[in-house]
Amino acid sequence: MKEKNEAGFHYLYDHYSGALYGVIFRIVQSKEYTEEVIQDVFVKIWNSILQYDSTKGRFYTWMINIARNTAIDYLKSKGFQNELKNQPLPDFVYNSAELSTTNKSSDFIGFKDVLGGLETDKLELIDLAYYQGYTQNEISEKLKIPLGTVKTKMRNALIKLKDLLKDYQ
Amino acid sequence: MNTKEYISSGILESYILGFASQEEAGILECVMKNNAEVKAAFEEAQKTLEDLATAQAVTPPNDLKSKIWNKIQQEQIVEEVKPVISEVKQDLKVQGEIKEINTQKNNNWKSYAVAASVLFLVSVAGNLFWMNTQSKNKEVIAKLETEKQSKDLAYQKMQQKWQMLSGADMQMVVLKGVEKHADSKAMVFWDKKSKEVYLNADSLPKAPEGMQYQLWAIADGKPVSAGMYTEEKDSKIALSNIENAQAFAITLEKKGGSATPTMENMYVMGGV
Repeated sequence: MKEKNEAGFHYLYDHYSGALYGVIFRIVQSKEYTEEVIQDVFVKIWNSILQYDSTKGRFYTWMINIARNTAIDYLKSKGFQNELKNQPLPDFVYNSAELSTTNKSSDFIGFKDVLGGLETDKLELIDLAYYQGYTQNEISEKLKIPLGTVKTKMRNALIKLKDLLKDYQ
Repeated sequence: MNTKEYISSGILESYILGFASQEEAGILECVMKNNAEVKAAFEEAQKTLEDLATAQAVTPPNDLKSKIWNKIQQEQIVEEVKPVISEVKQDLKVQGEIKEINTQKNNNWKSYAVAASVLFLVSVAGNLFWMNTQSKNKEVIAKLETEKQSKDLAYQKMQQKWQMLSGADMQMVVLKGVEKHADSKAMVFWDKKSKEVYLNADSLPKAPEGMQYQLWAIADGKPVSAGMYTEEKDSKIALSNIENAQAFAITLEKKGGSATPTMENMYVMGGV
């Protein structure tokens, strides 16, 4: 893959495009935006693959973070961020059986959600930090809990999520 | 803070989600190199989010793959074409000049004159070039000489350090500059028997008036003061005795030191 040939690209795409598409989709919440963002994400991954540093984390995680950051930046650049922040959490976050948002419901149909098994406070935390790009300070302010608590709660949320994922697979 | 408390503080998740400050990240990266438990917890937290992404995967549209591959190839072509274009431009220029000379062929003496003056110009240019290289060579030689002198000095210093190191139980820890002070470096010498910690930090910038460099030992994620640095102590006098550390770091503190490190004033750090 580091040699940047076409076979490397096929491997990368075949293994990770679905997951990255899913991550981006969750953030930008529309097929149209997702297609735009995922192209940038793959180009970025391709161009910076030599800068990937395995001591700082796993390769898959590295790619997920590129996808998350690109998608969140995309929303910010489109001026969606404030709009999103002032809205209540989208329905799909709370709906375990099927995702449905008012305006883009068709995009989400049939989208089963493992996150639905989380308690509301844990779900909200993951949604804010992971999908909406809130910093931990912003979360602390928004939810009116101390920064240290945000961090430990985030850890607890991920531990719970790990259990859920075990059953899910 | 012990290892378990450090892990459950949520620092791993902060780091993975990109929230950790540069200092927190530096400490974590150091601790991970030395603490298998922290490293394992880090891998696990990453895996959870990876599994989440896998569980939530959505099959992209069929034509997306070729769209992306085309985009990647286009970018590569653009990069390769740039230097070629500038070469082509130069070729065109040269051809243009040749054409100008050719058009004057009907006037023979003129073309000879042109040829002669071109030759003359070439020769002048050649001489200038040669003279230029000569003086450049001289500069290079002078530069090499001063370089050699400073290298000799550095070599002497190295030998001094070497002597200090000859104690069999001495462990060396290289401290590298953090992002803000990427050029800084220092070295900790840790006597594993007597637990004494020496510091070589004469390459750090001189501490401003009223300030002093403080050495920290990081054990299980928690920084413990490992003594105050002065130039007189450099590589000679122990700063403190440290039983246990996975990493060392240096911060700039008020004279006499602080109880906890001022993270934004961190200069260097390194894992044991």
